[in-house]
Amino acid sequence: MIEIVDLFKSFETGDKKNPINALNGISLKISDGEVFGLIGTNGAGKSTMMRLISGIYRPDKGKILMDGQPVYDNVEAKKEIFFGADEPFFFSNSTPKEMMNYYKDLYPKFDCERFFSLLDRFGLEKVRKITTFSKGMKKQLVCILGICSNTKYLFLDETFDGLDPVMRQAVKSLFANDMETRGLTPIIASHNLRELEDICDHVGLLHQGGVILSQNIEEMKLGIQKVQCVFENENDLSGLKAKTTVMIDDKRGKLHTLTLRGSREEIEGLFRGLKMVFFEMLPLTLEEVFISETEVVGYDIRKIIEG
Amino acid sequence: MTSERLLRGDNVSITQNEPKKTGCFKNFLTLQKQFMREHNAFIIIVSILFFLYYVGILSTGCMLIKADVDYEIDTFTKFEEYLFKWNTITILGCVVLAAMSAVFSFNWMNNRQKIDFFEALPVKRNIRWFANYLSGMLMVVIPAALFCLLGLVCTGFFGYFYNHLIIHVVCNFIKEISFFAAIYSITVFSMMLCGNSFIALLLCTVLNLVEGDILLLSNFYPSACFETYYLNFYNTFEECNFISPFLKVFLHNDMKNSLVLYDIVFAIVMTVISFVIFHFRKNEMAGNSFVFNKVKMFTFVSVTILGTLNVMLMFIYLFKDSNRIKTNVFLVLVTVVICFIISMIMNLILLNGVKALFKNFKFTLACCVFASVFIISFRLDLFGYNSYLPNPSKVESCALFDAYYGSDNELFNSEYASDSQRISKYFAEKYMNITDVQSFERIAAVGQRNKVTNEVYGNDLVVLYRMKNGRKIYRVITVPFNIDEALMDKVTSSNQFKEGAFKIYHVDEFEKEYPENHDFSYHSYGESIHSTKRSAVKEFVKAYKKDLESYSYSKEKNDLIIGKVQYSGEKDYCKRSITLPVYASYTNSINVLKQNGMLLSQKASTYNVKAITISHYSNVDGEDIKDKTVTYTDENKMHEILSHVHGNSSNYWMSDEEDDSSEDYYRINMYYMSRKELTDKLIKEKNKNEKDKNEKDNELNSSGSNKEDQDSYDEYDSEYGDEYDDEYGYDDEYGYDDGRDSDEENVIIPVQDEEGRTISNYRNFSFNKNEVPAFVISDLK
Repeated sequence: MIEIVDLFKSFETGDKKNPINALNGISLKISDGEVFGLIGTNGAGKSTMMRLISGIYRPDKGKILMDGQPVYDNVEAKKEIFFGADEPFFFSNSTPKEMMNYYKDLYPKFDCERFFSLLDRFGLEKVRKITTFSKGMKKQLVCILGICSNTKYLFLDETFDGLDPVMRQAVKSLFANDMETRGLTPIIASHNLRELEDICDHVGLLHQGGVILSQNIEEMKLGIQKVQCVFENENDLSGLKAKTTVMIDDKRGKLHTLTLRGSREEIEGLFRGLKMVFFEMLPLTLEEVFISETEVVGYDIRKIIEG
Repeated sequence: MTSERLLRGDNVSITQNEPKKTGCFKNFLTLQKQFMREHNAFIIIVSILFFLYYVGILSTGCMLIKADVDYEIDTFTKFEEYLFKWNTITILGCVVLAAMSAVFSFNWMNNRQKIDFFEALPVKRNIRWFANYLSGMLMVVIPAALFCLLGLVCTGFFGYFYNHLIIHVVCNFIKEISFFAAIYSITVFSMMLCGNSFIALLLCTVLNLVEGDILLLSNFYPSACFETYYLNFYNTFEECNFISPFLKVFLHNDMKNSLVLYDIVFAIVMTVISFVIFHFRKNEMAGNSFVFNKVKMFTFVSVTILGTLNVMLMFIYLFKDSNRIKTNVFLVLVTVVICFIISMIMNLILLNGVKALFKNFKFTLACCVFASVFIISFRLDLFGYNSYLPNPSKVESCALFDAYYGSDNELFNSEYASDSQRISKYFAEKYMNITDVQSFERIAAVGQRNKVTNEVYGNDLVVLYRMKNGRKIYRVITVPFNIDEALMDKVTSSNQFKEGAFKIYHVDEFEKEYPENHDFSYHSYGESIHSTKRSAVKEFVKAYKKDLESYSYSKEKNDLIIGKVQYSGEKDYCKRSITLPVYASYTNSINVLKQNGMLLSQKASTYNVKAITISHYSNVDGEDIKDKTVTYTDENKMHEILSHVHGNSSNYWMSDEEDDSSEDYYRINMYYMSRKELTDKLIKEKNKNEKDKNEKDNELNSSGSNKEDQDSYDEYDSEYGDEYDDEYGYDDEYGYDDGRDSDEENVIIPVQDEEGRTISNYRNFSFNKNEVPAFVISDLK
């Protein structure tokens, strides 16, 4: 389990008084054997957090414990981590085989046989120079290297973004397989929430260096409901707002699309006493959860558009 | 290919491997292996260079020697020494290789992509750092060692495998590697401080050169602003104990053995510091100019100030002689403008953007203020440099020496030195320990004042105060000719002064330094006489020292030089001499010369003088105006004139300039016969007075010395004439070949010295005080 306690990280800007506070006292827990999705607004600190958990950056304050031991400059802890950066690095003029040779010397459980097998299946040549690979192929290679390193934790920073749907699906299958067989815990940072929705068990939502929420994805959806309705009496809406948290109220004519905090039963119960022209519970996507939650803390699309 | 297929296949292929052990050493080797693989192109280039340097040069040398049987082992080693000698190319070669390999080793730290890759790997940061550090060094050291060895094997193959050669090549290799290590470590240090390799290289350059620049500024600013500053730039650079290994080697253009140890220690210290910095370095600062903000600002301020002061030095020299308020205000304005321009350039480099040009305004302003105050304090001498006199109780001893002695590396006069009487810095610093500090400082105070105001003609001297705390303070002073003689006597009559001022006290040191071909000679009015007798030297030294016992400023000032003694010696074809002026009052010395048959006429002779011109000068409003010039060709008149002039050497404390400084003075120019005219005259005289001449010759031969009289010109000309003429530009048909037309055959030629070289006849003779012949005064009225 990865435990993050009160984590702070800031970057110097040259102006002592105004450093960039990338992470402001974040606390999170990433349980073993589940896919953790790290989502957040631009500049929320996702990549910084990934680098901190991978032991690339040293925290200014706070703790990052991996199975009880700190990560930074800890070889034993790092043997259980594979970090796939958003812009992966490969040695100049190297081939997948050469990269494998390098990794196999550093990761004790590296599976060479499986590496060749996966290269073959993904259609990547083992002796072709990586510089001639496309962006997607490079990302595939990172995923394969990560999988074959047989580490307990696999950090992928926007790695899915460059993959085509088939490959994305294939990689997801690999994860699923390894999670089942050896308890792999993938931690994936991405902007592509639709993709994460399919694969993630747990989601951490970051905004401006803080965690807005960290929840199981199903529980998250259960706690927020989306309703499309037309009130007979518009005054009922204000009564409703007094009883529950209306996160978003999007009105088109008389049709309201409301995002409300509460369980399905609770929300249905609230509407039951009201005279409605039209009422329907809609399925909620992760993207909508993201927009709803970030809007609450001031990250409002309308503000951005309207200024 | 579908995801189903992938998934299906994968299910089967998963294997759980037994974890292999990955120890620190294995990780270390893995990193090194990969590093070498990644930089194989650089290693190949380095290998080619070392192949050419070692194998190429040694083999070529062997082949050349094989081809020519006359070459010997000695020639080979000399050839090899010459080729492997430290020169600018070797030094710069080492610097470039060291800088490149250090950048290659730690370049990854400045690239976020590479940091993400390397820092996430399960490798201890220390291990990675040392692996990189060693890899960078080894990719140069290993090819160098291999090809050095191969070069030696090649010489063995040609049959020139000698101990001397092996030692020389191995020593050279060690020197190169230690220097390489020193430069490598300072580049790594820069890499640790910077988040950008280009900035790191700039910083490395600054670190290597900054000491030299500070030394340059600390010498040239006072030199431009303080009249009493003693600029001894060459020696300062030579003697300065630089920290920078580059400056140590580059300025000396030599790699002493002691520097090897220094370089190794320097490399170790810098490596430790770099390693410590690495621990404080934050990975997220990669890509920034500097990883530590304080270092960045320190560099910004330092470079801005140094840059401004460097540029301003040019303006300071331009306006050296003008110290008006307007000029100083103008200089402050220029300082501010230059400071702003340099700060903008620094912002552009450090902050990497045109928008950042005007950032760090407060620091720029501070730099402007500092640079302006610095310049004004120098220009206006706010700290009283020119009038500074140390507290006598804190001074251990003092010394003075001539400000224009020439190269201080020459302990003794070179063969053609004319400044023979001057007090050398070397001997004054070593042997002159004047303890009468109060008298000394009184002289210095007068001299310093006179140097600044430049009111009275005088001797330019350098005074040295040796402080009790070990510090040395130098000042240039001008001792006016009208200085209180009693005060000067107090200092100059002491043995402490004489031991540093006169080289006669150090004849032993001279003989040890130049042990070959000793020659003892006496020179007077264009004639010289040599003695090979060792006893003559000893006697003369003793007598001269005895004469010096009564030496003092006032006595010497009013005395006349009648000739000079020159004692010369050689070492490795390098001839040096001690020159000692003989004054009329030096009776002991004159007696010894007389006893050894070396004393020449004490008056100038007219035998080779064709004409004498005397000009009368008046001093009107500070300008010398030539009133009238009269030329004398009549032998009797010329004889009369020459009997009232003093010789071709001025007294140390009383140069002819003192005479010139009087309102009216005479300038005597002597015009000597051309060689052809002199020969004709001598032949004519020879025929006329054959009998007299024979008597004179007999007299000279019986004296047992080998006087080189001008009478021997005739014989000499017939024997060596052609050779001599070729060498010195004589032409039998046209006289002295000075570039004039051939019809000017009988032009008056300038005087030549004993060696036949042309010397200026200007101020060669001066009238003795109050001895201007009456006919000269009347002719020039």
